[in-house]
Amino acid sequence: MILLRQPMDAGTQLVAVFGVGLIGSALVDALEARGAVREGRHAIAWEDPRERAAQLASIEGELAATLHSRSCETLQVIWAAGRCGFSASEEEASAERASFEEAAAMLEAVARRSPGVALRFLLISTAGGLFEGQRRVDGRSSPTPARPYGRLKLGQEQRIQAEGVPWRPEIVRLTSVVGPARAGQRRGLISTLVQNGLRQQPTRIVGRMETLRDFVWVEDVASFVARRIGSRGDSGADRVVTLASAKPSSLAEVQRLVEKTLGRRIYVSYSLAPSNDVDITFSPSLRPPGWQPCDLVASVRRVHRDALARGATA
Amino acid sequence: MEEVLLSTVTPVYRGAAWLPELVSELEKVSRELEEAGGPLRLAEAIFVDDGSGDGSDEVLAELSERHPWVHVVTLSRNFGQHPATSAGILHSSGDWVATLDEDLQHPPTQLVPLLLRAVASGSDVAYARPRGGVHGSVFRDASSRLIKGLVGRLAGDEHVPLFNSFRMMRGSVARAAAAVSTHDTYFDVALGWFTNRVTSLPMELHDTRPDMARGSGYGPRALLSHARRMLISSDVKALRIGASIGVTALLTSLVSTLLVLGMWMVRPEFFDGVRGWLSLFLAILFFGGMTALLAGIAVEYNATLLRLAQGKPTFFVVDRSKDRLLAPLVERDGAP
Repeated sequence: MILLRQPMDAGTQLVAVFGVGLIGSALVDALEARGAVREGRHAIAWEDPRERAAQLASIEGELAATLHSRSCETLQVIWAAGRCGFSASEEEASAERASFEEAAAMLEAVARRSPGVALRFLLISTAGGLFEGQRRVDGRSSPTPARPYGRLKLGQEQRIQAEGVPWRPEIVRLTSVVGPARAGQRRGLISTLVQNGLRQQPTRIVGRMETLRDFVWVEDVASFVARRIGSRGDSGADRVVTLASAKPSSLAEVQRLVEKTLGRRIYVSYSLAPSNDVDITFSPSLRPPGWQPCDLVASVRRVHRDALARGATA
Repeated sequence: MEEVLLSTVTPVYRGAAWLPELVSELEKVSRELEEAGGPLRLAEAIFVDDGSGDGSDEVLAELSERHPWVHVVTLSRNFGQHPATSAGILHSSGDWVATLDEDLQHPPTQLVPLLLRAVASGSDVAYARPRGGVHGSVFRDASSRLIKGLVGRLAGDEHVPLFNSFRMMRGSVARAAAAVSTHDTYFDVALGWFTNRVTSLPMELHDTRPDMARGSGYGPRALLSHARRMLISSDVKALRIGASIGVTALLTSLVSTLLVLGMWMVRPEFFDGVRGWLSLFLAILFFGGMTALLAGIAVEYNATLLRLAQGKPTFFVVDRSKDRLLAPLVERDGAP
C-alpha cells in the first residue's frame, strides 16, 4: 500500500493506493505527476493471513494518525490490489475475497476513528470478467460473470456499495489493460507478445485468431482516475464507469500489429481451450466524459519502446 | 437465445444529404429483423466520416444521438474509401459485416438476401453484382468493367470482376483483412488472402451521385488509382511471363549452340559465306534470356517481400459453425 498526500483546491486529501502492480503503480505515478507527495509505503503479505492481519492493524493506526496530523478532510482509498486474473481458480478467488473483506473492515474502523473525514473508496474492477461473452456492452447490459474471477470482482463491487458503508463508493471497470512488463507483475497479452517477439521465443495465446477483445493503455487509465479523484466537482458523476476503447481488436490484429512494430514475424500458437475464446466488446456509448484512450497502435509501440529501453532482447 | 449479429460499415465522404435516409432504411431492416424474432440482429451501423467537410459530422452526431446502434468513427483527414472502410470494419464486432456506400446506391433491403446468399452457398464473402449499368454513364460502367477484367486476368484472380463496395463478409475474415490492409492495399484483394469462398448476388444498383449533380468522388483518375492498387496488392502473374520468356530464350540459345557446334563438326561447308552472324545471334539470345530470367527472379523476390510487408498470412482459421443458426432463414426465404 502506498500512501500519498494530495493538495486540493481547498485542503488536503490522503490517498491510499492498495496494490502496486501494473495499474496501481501507474496510478501512483499519475498522482505524483499531479502534485501528490508520497507519505509512506507498506508491504502487505496477501499470502499470509496472520501477518496480513497485523499489517492491516498497523495501517489502520497510521491512516488514522496521518489523517489527524496532516489535517486531511478526505481519505481516498484506491483498491487496485489482487493477484487473481481471468484464469484464477475458485480457491484463489476465495482467498482474495477474504483479504478484501479484511481490508474493507479495516477501512470501516478507520472511518469510525476519524469521524470528521470524508471517506471515498474507488475500486478498480474488471469489465471483461463481468461481461464475458457479451458484445457491444452498453449501459443497459447486466454483468454475467462466467468464472471465479468475474464473480470475485462482482462481489467486491457489491461489498463497497452495500447499504450503510461509511464511504462514497466508486467503481472503475477496465477492459484488457496494456502496459509495459515489470518484474514480478502479471504480464498482459501485448507485452508478452512483444517480449517474446524480441527474444524470438514462441507465445501461446489462449483464444482464437478471431477472438475479439478491447484494450486500453494503462497510463490513460491512470490519468483518468487521477483526474477523477483530484477533482471535487464530480458529485454528479456516475459512480460506476467503464473505461473501454470501444474498438474491438481480434487477436490476429494484435499479432499483426506487434509484427509490424517489431518489423519481424513472431512465433504464435493458439490454444484451442474453449473457455477463453469468447468475444468481449464494448459500445462507444459507455465512454465517460473526459475519457480519451489512445489507439492500440500507440499502445503496442509504447510497450515495444519500453521493452527495448529495458533491454528485453538481452 | 444465441444470436447472429450483423454490423454495417459505411464510409462517408461528402454524403450528408443521404445519411438520414440511409439510417432510416437501416432502421427498417433492423425492425423487420427484430419482428422476425431472431436469430439475426442488426447490432450496429458504423459510419466512418472520411474528412468530409460538408457537415456530415454534424448529421452523424445527431443520428447517433437518436439511434444508439449508430456509431461514428471520425478520421483525422480524408484517407480514401478503402482505408475508411478498413477503419470501420476494425471497429465492428458483428458475426457478419456489410459495407455499403452512403449514397443509397446500395439498398439496405438487400442486406439480408446478400447474407443469406453467403450462408446458403457456404461462402465468406458475397458481393452485390449489378444488373446493367450502375453509374448512369456508359463510359464509366464500361471502363470499370474493363479495368476489373484486365486486372483479373493479369493477377490470375477470377474474383476481381466481382469486386464491389456493397459486400457482405464473415466478420472474422473482414477484420483480419482490414487489420493487414495498408494504405496501398486493395481491400478486396486482401480479403482474397483469407478466403476463396466468394459468391455474388445479382441486383439493381444505381449510383445516385451523378443524378444529384454533386460529382462523383471517383473520376477517371480515381479509377486508375484503384487499378494500380489492385495490381500492387495482387500477385501479378503476368510478370512471371517475363521470366518464362527468359528461360525459354536461354534454353533455346543453349540447344541452338549445341546444334550449331554439331553441324560445324559434321558439315563445316554449311558455314561458308558470311561468318559471325549466327554466333552473334546466339550470344544475344543467351544474354537476353539470362537478363530476362534474372529480372524475373528479382521481381519474384520483390513480390515475396511485398506480400510479407503487406501482411499476407501464412494461414488463417475460421469458425463457420454459427451459420447453422441461419439455416432456417435460408429454408424459409429460399436461397437467394
